[in-house]
Amino acid sequence: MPGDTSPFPNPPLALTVLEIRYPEVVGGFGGEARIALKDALSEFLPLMESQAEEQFEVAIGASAPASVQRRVFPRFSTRDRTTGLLVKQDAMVLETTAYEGWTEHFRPLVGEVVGALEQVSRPDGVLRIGLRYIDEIRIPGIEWAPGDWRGYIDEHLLAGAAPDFIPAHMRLSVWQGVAQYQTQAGSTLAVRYGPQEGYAVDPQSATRRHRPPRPGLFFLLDSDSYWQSDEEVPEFEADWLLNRCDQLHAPVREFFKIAVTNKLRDEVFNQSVKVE
Amino acid sequence: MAQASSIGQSPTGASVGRYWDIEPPTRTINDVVDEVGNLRNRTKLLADDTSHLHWSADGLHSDALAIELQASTSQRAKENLSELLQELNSLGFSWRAIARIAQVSVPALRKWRMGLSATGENRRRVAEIVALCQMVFDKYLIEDVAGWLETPLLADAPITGLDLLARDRSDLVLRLACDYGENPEQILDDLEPGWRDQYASAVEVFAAPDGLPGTRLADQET
Repeated sequence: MPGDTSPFPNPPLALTVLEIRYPEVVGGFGGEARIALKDALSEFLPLMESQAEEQFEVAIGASAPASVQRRVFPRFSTRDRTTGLLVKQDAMVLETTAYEGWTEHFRPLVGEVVGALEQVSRPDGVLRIGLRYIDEIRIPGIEWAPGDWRGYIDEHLLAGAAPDFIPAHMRLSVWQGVAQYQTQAGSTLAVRYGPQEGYAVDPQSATRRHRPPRPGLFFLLDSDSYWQSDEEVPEFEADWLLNRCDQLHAPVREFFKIAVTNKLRDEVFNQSVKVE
Repeated sequence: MAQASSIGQSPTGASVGRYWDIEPPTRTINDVVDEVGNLRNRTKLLADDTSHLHWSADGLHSDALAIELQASTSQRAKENLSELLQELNSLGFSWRAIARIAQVSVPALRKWRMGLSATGENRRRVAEIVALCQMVFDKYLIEDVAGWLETPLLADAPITGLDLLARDRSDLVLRLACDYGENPEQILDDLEPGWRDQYASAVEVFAAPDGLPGTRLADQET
């Protein structure tokens, strides 16, 4: 049920990631496969760079030195480097710090990428799909750890930090939470949350953050919706993958809606000027 | 008192082990690249450890063989010298070869065979050669020890096992037997580091236009 996903003027979303794991593709993505992928993705991800991987082979008991095999796999990105795609023999990772909505932006991009992969070097199947949204919720005035998030974050998520819960002689210093929900057959939503300092997504990493906020206290909401094949390994087929991604996206969106309050939406997310 | 500013990643050890069951999260590109780097580092360390372990095991094995050879030598040194010489001769060693590896002249060897006494050092050297031949025969199943020791280690260099013994390098003979001749270059490097230059031939064999073999200087084209 994609749709209704217009991004906020001042979104808390720092990174959106899609990882698809598959059985190792024989021959990898060097040479012709890499060029074919580049051609197929040049409109959306025009920059291509190479990422090298070295594998050591050690013969136990032999006096011969360890041999090194060097494998190169491609990394594609937009010109501003806010969206990147890494394609390895056994997994692809598509991520962006410039998310502009599921229906409007990320889903079509996923469609292009998995379509290209299917055409160029179709993997034998799909082992795991993970769709992850990492939010850094920064609120003006909440700057000292662990912060008072009441009124902004749903109180159910703040239960362990509630002042009336903590004994008088104890003082809360750090806390983190993790919850895992079964969403449908084979699918799971794992949410990691709690106050943190600095950044959850490094602005200096290879996938750049456009105008990153100042480091400081933020409330992390890291929603990881994933599916993995427990029994049969389905075929790597673009339409099936997109439908599965829709199914993974829905609980993330639903959880986000209940995790943040209207006050947070109104006072922070919907403010046209980015809070720094 | 120290103030906790982050949650510890290594909780206090307990018999319960890891009691939560949350899957590792979906990986970002950084995670995947870091994972590759981490795997590379771990593999490199493992390779280094394995090489070091192999090197240590080699050293330990050599030490153990040396101790065994010395013990066996001490035992054989108690025997009659002429009988030890006769045993070597019966293994296929010529008297000239025995004199060479015992580092004495052939006439001196003849005197020992006649029953004249030898110095303790010479007696021990002969006993060591006998003990070594026995070890090579027993442990590494080399039946014709004399023939094996007369065989050059490499075609490129005229160095034999007898040369190793003549230079008091019974350790290299044992290593040669132990490696089943797999690393003769390494043994020659240990014995004589400049052997490649010393024994490099100025001429080479080539197939002449008439199809017959000929010789020429090694750096000559045709």
